[in-house]
Amino acid sequence: MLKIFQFLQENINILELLSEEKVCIIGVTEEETKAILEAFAEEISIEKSNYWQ
Amino acid sequence: MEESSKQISTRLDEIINNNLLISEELRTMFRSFKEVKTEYPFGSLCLMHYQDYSTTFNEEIYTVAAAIELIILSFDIIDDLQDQDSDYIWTKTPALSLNVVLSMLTLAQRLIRESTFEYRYAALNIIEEYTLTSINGQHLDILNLCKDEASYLQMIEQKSGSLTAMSAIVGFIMATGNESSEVAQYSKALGVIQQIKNDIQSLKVWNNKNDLLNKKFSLPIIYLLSLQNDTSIEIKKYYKNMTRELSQYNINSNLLNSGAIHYALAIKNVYRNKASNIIHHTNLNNKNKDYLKNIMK
Repeated sequence: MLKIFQFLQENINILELLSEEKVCIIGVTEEETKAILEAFAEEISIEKSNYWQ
Repeated sequence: MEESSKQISTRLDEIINNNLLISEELRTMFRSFKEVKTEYPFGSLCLMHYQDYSTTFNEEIYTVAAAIELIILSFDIIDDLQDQDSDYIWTKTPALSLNVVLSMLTLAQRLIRESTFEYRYAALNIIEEYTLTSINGQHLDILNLCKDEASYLQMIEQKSGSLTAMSAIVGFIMATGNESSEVAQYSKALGVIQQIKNDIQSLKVWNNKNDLLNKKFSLPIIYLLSLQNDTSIEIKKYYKNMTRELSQYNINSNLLNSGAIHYALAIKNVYRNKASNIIHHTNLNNKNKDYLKNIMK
């Protein structure tokens, strides 16, 4: 998962394609893809996050 | 859950106040340690699984839930004494606190053994198995050798997942006499999720609980260390004791912008989604399903 995240971080445009189901990542299950997209959708900015206040 | 917590708290008070095997000196400390706890999520997990799967109701389940909470409190105290990163009352007199811990663990097993549940010995076997697994995980955590995703997740499954799994499975076993791989899977995930959330929380405060400052490993830290940038070099130097300073601003910025926190959240979500799917198909009542799904968010 770590390498996949680094790849996505460097290729942030892939996220949109993933969410539109136009691409998939080999070796990553549907459930993991969902988890990744949900993580990127979670607000973690210093001001607003539940995780980062 | 509030009613469960009240019942468990009352039962704990009765156990502490009335047990003849505890001396007055020990009892005073026991009582003060118990007062620190305001919530009883582990005992509540046990209760929930008993109530939803049992066809009868034996009120002694509150004593069993209280015994579970004694085990959890004893592990929390040991963890604080080992990590030396908290200022709870039990950290003031470690030698005496260890006696309270020993009495909590002994008393917890005795309470379950003396209950009238048909499957109390099966429950005790589970408690032995899962507490030993948790101790193995705690040992790995203190050794600080889990520096990659796989070994770190395995360690927190042992350390934290075992305790939530134990709590739920004991309730299920008291009700049915059987173990359930489904209950084990989602309840273990509950512990892992809480640990990952705690790990993220630990990084936001720049104090003696901060895993980075303590040179510990967690998912966001493993991610940061895997990067090839100035911040990762700075952290590596700090972990190798080549520098005593860390730039709070740079590190916070990297945690948020490099994907480190997102990465930890994604792993948490993997556990959450798998657990939610299993919970959805169980015979727990809807209120309890919603409660479990909510605490995994």
